[in-house]
Amino acid sequence: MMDNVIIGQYIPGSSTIHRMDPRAKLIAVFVYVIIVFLANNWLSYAFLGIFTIGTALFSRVPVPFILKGLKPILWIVLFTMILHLFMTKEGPVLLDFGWTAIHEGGVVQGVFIALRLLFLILLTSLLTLTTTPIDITDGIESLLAPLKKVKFPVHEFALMMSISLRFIPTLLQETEKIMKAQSARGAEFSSGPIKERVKAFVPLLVPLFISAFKRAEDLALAMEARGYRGGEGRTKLRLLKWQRIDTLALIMVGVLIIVLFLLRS
Amino acid sequence: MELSTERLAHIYSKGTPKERRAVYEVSIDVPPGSFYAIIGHTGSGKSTLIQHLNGLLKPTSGSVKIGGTTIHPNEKGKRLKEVRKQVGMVFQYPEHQLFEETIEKDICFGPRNFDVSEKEAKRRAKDSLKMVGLGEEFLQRSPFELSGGQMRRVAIAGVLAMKPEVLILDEPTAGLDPRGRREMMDLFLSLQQEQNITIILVTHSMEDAARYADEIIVMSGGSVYMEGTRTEIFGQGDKLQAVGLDIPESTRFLQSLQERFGISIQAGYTEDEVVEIIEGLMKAGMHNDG
Repeated sequence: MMDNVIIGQYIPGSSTIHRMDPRAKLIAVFVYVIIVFLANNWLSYAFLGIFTIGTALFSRVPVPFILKGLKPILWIVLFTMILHLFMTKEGPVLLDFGWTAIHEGGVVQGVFIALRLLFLILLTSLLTLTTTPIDITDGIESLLAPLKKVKFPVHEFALMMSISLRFIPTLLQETEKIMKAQSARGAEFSSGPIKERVKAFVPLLVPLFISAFKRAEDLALAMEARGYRGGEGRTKLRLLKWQRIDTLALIMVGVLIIVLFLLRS
Repeated sequence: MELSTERLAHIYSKGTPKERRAVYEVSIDVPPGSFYAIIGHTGSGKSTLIQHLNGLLKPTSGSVKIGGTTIHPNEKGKRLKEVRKQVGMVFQYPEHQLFEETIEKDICFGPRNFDVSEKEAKRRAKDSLKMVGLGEEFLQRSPFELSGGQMRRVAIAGVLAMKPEVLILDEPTAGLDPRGRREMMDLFLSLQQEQNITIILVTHSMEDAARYADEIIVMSGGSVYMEGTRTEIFGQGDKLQAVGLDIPESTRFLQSLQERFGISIQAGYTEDEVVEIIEGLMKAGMHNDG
């Protein structure tokens, strides 16, 4: 079950995308998330698609693995697509059921929305697949550094993020372990009526919360024991280095923006 | 109830870059009422193997036979639950599974899931709590106000209350004090000898394996490396050391004694046996002097 979650799972590799500066990747993904909404006709979607799929292939993350990660959101995509199919009443009627009809506009809108969602998830998960959590938080910390001037606790914020990212796999493992222990005692998590199923999660959630709190306490203690005192005057072991490829990547995103604007109708 | 596996293999995350073969070509046979120990280095596939024995994992290939039920790779649903009723499983650090408000309710959780009546479940809660050495006064207390060792006992009582025919124990004494370890292990031994429950113990302690088990299975790199009685296993110290394991402290002690004094001493595997052997030697020595 837990194998399907790919967010927060880094796949080691040595592609150019893996080696890019996390700041460049973060900026690129951030901009991308906004400009996905610029596309509004077949040509612009095709171009966006080529860019997105090209990036994914370029990262050399195994394709079956990426597809597997997209599987959990397939239902959301399908649901929104069907919603659009029936709710959008534009263009000529394609199919008439009497009580409702499917318009051409509905089909087009449905496909566009589905593509939009898929592209979004694909590229954002590519960020976590090719960047270690540490790199991501280092990148965020560095990008947010100007906010220190307005007393925003940038370092603490980054630390909180890296800790939560770091513990996602741990908590997933823990969940699986407790699930197994309770299944061995006859608990069932995936059958029976909804009410029973909700109740079945109590034996899972209580131990999970307890161990999470305990873990947090242990971690705080271990950090204090090693003299952690916050971001003031703290140096880094690994410095981020902006390279030519990073500038190049951002220029490519810039080109993408311009092209999308031109293709927009 | 008999447990066996036939060319069992399990691969985690099949078809992803993280694909990992945990066990392969494992064929074992555990007769009813026996006490088996499974030893092996961390990552040798012990935990994966035992999770097949009560239907928590399904084989990638091969099959598992649990009593009259055979589990094949594409098994699903109901039959697995039936299997879990007969094969109790105590995981590492079982105290992490406690969740109820009172100890009584927590112990009843297992039996209630297998449709045991409330009255009967409560009776079993009392009995199994006694078995693990805790009194009735604990029944209404919260499991979270206990010490670590007591929580462990409650968790084990929760599994015993299901009245399994086979009990699988994954390092049940890790993190307990020496006295607690001894008491726990003696409890499992008495379950085997008095109630004829099959015990499968996964352990890192060669001493426990030597003291309690009838048969020892040594796992290495995902398959069965050696199998036999303790004499057969611990008689081959070199072979064990090759996979990062060792012979029990007591056996090694007797071996050094043998080398130091150039005498031949019979092999022994537990402290009690060593005491007996040395006692015998000393008596013999006195006779020689006199």
